[in-house]
Amino acid sequence: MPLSPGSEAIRRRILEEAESRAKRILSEASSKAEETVRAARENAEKTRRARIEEREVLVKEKIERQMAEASVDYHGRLEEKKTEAVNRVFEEVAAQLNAFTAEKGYGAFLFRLIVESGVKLGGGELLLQINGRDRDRIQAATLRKAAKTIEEKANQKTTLELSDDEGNFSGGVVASKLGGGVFVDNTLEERLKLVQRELTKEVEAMLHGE
Amino acid sequence: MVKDFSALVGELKALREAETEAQGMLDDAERRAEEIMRETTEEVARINARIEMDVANAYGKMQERMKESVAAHERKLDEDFNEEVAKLENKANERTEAAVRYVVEQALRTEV
Repeated sequence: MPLSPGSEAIRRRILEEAESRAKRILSEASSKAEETVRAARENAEKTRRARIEEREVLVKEKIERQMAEASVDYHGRLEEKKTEAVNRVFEEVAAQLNAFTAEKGYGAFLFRLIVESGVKLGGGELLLQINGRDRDRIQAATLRKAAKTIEEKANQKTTLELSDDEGNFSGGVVASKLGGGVFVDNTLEERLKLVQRELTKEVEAMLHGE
Repeated sequence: MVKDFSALVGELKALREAETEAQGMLDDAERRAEEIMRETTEEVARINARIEMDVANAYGKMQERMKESVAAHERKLDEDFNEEVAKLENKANERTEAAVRYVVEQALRTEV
């Protein structure tokens, strides 16, 4: 049955209003959705950029650190090579000093070492320790001569006595005051240590300088 | 104008049906709006997940580049090292004999 015009108008208005509200609900939802997605994309891009930049900084620092470590290692290895070359010099010096003990001039050198040691101790009653091989080189007359030379240089009456203990060194002498703890180590090993301490820088410059 | 009671009931019924239909439209719209918001939430989650993936990919590439840079730097240092060592050893070998002679002289030099 057809509605009266008044009722029909009310019915249409109900449906039109409902349709309009439904459209508004959907439109608001769509707008809200679009805005949410747009904001999410914008935030995502900012976050993505910030996090990538953050990692770029980390990676850059890591690269710089690793490169610096490699450079330090490079210089360390180069220094090792320089030190090896210097050590080779002192090894060769040790070998030549050792070989020198069998040469003709060694006897005179040993005499000078004894005198030098005695003078350093200021003369007096001195005990000398030498190695087994050198005992043959040092005769009583040599000791007297050395004592006299020390006396002259130190201005002190001097006697020299050979110790019964043989020194466990390749050459040279250990001289000490009889009855006292003062001694002078003038062995070849000690002289090598001394020149190594004093001349290492100089040898470095000789080998590696301009 | 309503002429009689049964016609009035018929019209009221028709209006109630219209209201029901209207409510249905609104309910459908609400459901669809909820669905849109659910889809939006899912899309936001996908967008955020993509950040993780993008950052991880970018970081992976950065690390690759870093390894390449460091390896190239180390290769260069190795080349430089070998070159330097060769120069250093040549020079040292040429000068070793003189250095040994000098040190031996100093070791044998006495003060008397």
